[in-house]
Amino acid sequence: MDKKITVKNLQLGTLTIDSDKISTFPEGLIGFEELTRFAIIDLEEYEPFQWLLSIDDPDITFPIISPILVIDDYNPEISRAEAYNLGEFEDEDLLMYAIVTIRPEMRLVTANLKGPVIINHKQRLGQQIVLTDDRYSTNHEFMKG
Amino acid sequence: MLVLTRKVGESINIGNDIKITIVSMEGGQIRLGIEAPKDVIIHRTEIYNKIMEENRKAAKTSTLDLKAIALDWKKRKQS
Repeated sequence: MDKKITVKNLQLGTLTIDSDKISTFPEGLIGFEELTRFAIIDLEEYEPFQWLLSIDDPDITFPIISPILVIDDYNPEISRAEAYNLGEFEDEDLLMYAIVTIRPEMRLVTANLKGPVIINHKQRLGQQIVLTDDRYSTNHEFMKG
Repeated sequence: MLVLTRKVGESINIGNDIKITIVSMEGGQIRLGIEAPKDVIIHRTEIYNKIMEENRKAAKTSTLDLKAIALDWKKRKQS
């Protein structure tokens, strides 16, 4: 039996989440170390973006996008040593997301390709990894108004 | 904080397996050579601060802004 939990987000309203869709981030996100459980929220009106929602504080959400939609050959090198919070994994177990920042004053949208959020979906473990790969930046511009 | 004075070509050891050498010094910039095992993660400190800043900005995103951008994205893909 799937367990579901209900959370309330100020902006997104009431959301029902399957508890087996929740991933544990042992170190949280950078700057948000106290938040260790997250779920990905898909809502049609935001496609292709999704929301990374904190279960611990559901008013905190991060817009995310699949980084291959930003750069179609996005393929950072990630070593096992860097991915120390992701448990045991094969490469195909990993889902990658880039956190998106909107700068309305500049009509600019950027994606953080240097610090992707990576989830081992088999073990439901997540980590924001700071890449040693120098090809990618923290604020890669990909849409301009 | 421990502060040591080193000259170009000199190095320090941290533990048994990390060695940092001053490679060169020019115009206020110091080049460091780092020898460490593969599982030691090395980053420039400011990169963490930049990612923290991006995360904090992203956490303040309004749903209205993201909705508008999602619409804009779909329009661009169609045209």
